[in-house]
Amino acid sequence: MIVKHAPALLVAIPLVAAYLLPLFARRLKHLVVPAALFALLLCSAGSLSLLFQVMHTGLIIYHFGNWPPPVGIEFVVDRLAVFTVLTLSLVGFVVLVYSIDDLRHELREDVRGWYYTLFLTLLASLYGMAMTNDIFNLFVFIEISAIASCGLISIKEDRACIEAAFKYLLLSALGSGCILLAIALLYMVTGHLNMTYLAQAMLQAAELYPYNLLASLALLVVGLGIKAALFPLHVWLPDAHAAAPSPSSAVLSGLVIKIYAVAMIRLLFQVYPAAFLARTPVAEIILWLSTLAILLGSIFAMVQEDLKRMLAYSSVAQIGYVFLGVALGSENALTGGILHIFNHAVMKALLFLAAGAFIYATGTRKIRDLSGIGQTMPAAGVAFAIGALSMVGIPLTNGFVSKWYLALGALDAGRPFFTAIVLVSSLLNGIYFLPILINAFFRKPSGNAAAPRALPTPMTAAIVVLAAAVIVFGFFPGRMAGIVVLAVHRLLGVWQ
Amino acid sequence: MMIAAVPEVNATAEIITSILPAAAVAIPLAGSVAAFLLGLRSDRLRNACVVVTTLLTLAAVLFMYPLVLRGPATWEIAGVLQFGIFFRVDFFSFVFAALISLIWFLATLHATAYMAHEDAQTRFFVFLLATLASCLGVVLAGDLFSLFLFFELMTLLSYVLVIHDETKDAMHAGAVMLYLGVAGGLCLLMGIFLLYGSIGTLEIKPLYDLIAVSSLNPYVVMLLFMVGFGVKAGMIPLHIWLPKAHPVAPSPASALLSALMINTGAYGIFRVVGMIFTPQATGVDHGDASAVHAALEMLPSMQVGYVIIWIGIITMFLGALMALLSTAAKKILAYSSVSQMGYILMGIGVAAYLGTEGAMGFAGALYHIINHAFFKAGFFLMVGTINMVTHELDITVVRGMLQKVPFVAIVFLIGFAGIGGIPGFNGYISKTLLHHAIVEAAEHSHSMPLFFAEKIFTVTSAMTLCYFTKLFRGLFLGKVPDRFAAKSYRYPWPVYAVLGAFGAVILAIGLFPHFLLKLAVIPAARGFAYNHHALEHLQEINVWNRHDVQGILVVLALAAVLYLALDRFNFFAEKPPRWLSVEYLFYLPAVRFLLQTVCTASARFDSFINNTYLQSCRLARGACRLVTLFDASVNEAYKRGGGAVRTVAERTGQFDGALNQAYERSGSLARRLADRTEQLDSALNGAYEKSGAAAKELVHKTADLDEALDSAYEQAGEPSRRLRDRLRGHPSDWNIKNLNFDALLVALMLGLLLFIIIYYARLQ
Repeated sequence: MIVKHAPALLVAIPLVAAYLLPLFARRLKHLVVPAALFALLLCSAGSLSLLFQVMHTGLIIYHFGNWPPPVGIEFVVDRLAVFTVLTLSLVGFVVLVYSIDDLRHELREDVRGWYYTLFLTLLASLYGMAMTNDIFNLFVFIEISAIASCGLISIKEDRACIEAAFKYLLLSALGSGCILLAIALLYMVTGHLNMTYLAQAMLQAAELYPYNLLASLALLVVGLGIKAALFPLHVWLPDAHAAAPSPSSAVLSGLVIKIYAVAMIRLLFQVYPAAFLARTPVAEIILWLSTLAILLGSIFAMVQEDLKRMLAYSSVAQIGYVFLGVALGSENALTGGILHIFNHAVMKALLFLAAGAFIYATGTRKIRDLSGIGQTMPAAGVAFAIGALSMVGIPLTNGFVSKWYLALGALDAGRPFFTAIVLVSSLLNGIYFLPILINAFFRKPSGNAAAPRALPTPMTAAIVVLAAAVIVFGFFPGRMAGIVVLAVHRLLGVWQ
Repeated sequence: MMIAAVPEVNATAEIITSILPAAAVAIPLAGSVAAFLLGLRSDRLRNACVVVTTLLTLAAVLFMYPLVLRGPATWEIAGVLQFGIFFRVDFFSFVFAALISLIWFLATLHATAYMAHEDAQTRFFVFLLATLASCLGVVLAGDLFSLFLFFELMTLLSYVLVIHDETKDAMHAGAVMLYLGVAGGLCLLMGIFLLYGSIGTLEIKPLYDLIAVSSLNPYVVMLLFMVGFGVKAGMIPLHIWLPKAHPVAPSPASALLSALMINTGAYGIFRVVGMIFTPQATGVDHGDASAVHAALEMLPSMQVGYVIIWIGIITMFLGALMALLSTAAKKILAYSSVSQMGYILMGIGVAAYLGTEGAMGFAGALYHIINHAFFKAGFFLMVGTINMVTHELDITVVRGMLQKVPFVAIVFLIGFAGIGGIPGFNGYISKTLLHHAIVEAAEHSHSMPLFFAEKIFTVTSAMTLCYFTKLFRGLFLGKVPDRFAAKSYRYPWPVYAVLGAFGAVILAIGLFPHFLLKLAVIPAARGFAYNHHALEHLQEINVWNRHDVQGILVVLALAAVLYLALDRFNFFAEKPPRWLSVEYLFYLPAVRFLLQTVCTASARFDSFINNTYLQSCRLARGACRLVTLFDASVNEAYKRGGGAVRTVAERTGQFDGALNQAYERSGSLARRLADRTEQLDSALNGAYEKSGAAAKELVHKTADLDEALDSAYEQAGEPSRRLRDRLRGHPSDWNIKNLNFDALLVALMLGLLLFIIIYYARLQ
């Protein structure tokens, strides 16, 4: 009975918990953290149950309040959704565990309760975005997540954070506006908001009102491009992700921008008619933008001195991989791109959390001041090294797996140039990650790095779990890749 | 009808499943973990563990011997990574694996003594074992994917060995090695992708039949593989990391890097050019050699083989030249490795160039790999042994060691004879085979340049003798400097045992050269597609003949003349001009160019954005100033207006007062005039007074209103004034600076996308 409502509960549980937490914070302070953890634990259980159901039945369709579409709101849980939901649960839970201790030194006590509220609201909206089959519902979730992200950035209340949050707020409002306009344009010519019905109606609308569809396509690409920080719309990202508290950065960089990419994938592959898209150069545009993102993101990352800022720029490059896979559109490339959503979520969360640990322990965020940190903080140091090597795409790490698929996908699509791009970007990643590792492990510790504060166990545990995930999913890519390959089959219509 | 030899061999070969290859990789890995754990407790236990691990690894490899005699041994670890890890050991792999594990064992034994007084010993030994695992993995791997996996790991793991001392030089050398290694690895990966993308398999076996029918450009792929493996092999011009990295590592590590790890590069080139890009041996009748020759003329691997010959020749000559010009003992040895690698590459090139006839080149290259591994590892350990006491290895400083360490000097002389190719020592046979190979290639192709190459080969051999004479003379002869004289040159037994072992092996191979040829080299060649004839010829070769010995005598004479001449003109003291180095000519400009481009690009972009912010900031400030000006003038106007109202009111008040007075006066007049009308008058008076008060009150109210208006306007002006004040501050002080630019960008993007999409959409 409960299992049947898992899709709805996945959104409802964190949302309800989010509203309860401030009450707890007022009277039952000690319950705030356990309650948040419990909510996410339930969500993780829910996503696992969804996984089993989907692996079993292939597709779950959930109607809210038993109202069937096109009137009611519909959740469709396919393999792509399950994959995304799993990513959200795993990374979200680990980051939450980490944040308990980290927030003690980053946030004032009276706002800490609110942090969890924002965090859970954000996750609820992300869960919703992953599963919803209703385009307006999607917009609502996008808005919720934008507001919640803003809160998560600005909660630190220092100058940089507020500035970054303000910037993010305005830009993402622009993005939302684009998306809303696109939805309106689509609704205008089709009369539907449910994606399945929309897709059917669009077949006809594409002939009758091509300009509506074209404009909506452009608006969606720009709107979701802003949200997903697709180059050159990424300008808000480095500030926002670098300034926010480390757990926020991990979630924003690891999860939030990816979910918009998932939404884009859904719209491009499941809503717009393939024949219509084939007549537009949209794939080519995304392809070149993502290539620029991959190269320039890395190049900008190279010149950064602030560790978190460097990681943020690296996210710009990494989101490029996802879009590269989407734009190339061959089975392998799409597999690589979607798989990178998970792989990058794990490794970027790992890197941000490890960087947060360095900042927690030494108080410095300058890369230069972290020499010898690998020797004085072996656990976090080795974990960071694993994450960095995964970024470079060394075999045995999960970063290699998605690059493997992407590179092969580029060949399948008949574009070996982009295989070379993937490999060159590996080298670029190496150029800015390897010196940090060398500095951290093979130089004498100096300054604050020589005598870091001890790291609380939950923080270490969170980092170690993510590092282990990088290795495990690098060593056994089969499971995850299996889910993704099936999801890709559905997207490409190879198999229903 | 004759049947080709190779299918015969293949037909008799069976595929054997054995876990030994996986074990040979797993044992050192497990050993490195154990060494780490033991290293936390005791150095002696850890050292014992390390030595035992290498011994066990050696045993695991040697146990494969009976298996690979029957056919390739395979083992697959399925379910991991993309394709699983696949091991496939044929005799060729086995020779490499045996060589690696044997020399690794000896060097590790030496290292337990050498490292005794160094820092971070545990780290060294842990990575030493892990590198062994990756090295073995490279040669035991059964497909290119597994090979790449181990190759990449080897690059990363050996880095730690190179930078062990953490000096500035070491860090620099390590960085060069790491980046070149990673870049090479990526070239390799690109080649692998292209290969896999077009033929769908990565197995290491003759695949040219598949490649020929696919759309793959074999030259591009071979070039990528050559670059990838060439970096490791120290192939010119990719060698620049080698003379930096090998000397700075601790001597046992240098020995392993220089003697073994560069061979993995050669191994890869062998496998790719000599095997993967060769056709599956069909039943071609090789009785009619010219027909076969004609049929195979166009094979890309042969053309690439020709290029490799020349790369080998250039590498050997330039390596020897640089060795002649160096004075640091380990640097000479490192350049010597580059030079010797040139010999090996030349052999590989001949083998590929001659196709199925290339057995001689193959044998020469493989035999030289074995020999070079022994004497080069020996040399590095010998100078390492001296270094343990002197901590200095420049031959202009460290001298006269013959008196101090005669044992080392004797072994050094044996190695010297080996690398010099003196009959009776191991280098003789392999150099003779290589010489045969280049002559064969030259005769086969009737090409003048290859005859010329043969001459360079001879000259390089003479140069080899020269720089080793210089090294020996510098290090062992002469007078011991005072600061080294008083030191004690006593070593623990493993040092003597290991050096003795190297000397013995060099002698043994040299005295019985045909034994190893038949035991290892020819069986390894059977795994490749060489024809029966060539193998037979190899089988029956006897290097103890007048012609070959004469050849070496020529080299000796040449060397003597060369050495005397060079010594006479004091050539050895010459420092090579800086501009001659490849690094200076190519890499530094390339890196500088790259950095400049990157930095300039990002600086440009940065300044562009900054300028845009500043401009938009200035614009906004201007706009704000205008607004405030307007505001101020409005304010002023209101103030003025208020003033006018007040004046009017005042005037009204005065007029009122005057009226009042006039009325008062007229009232008093009236009072005076008519007392009777006093009541009326006072009533009138009161009325006028009242009206006067009302007028006064009106005036006051107007003034109040005016003031209220005034302050209201002032208040209204306040926010804009505050904004203006804020804008007047430093650009970084205000918050919304980026928005103008961002919004502009979004609008631009949107417009552009709309335009592109609509313009280029192919609507009917």
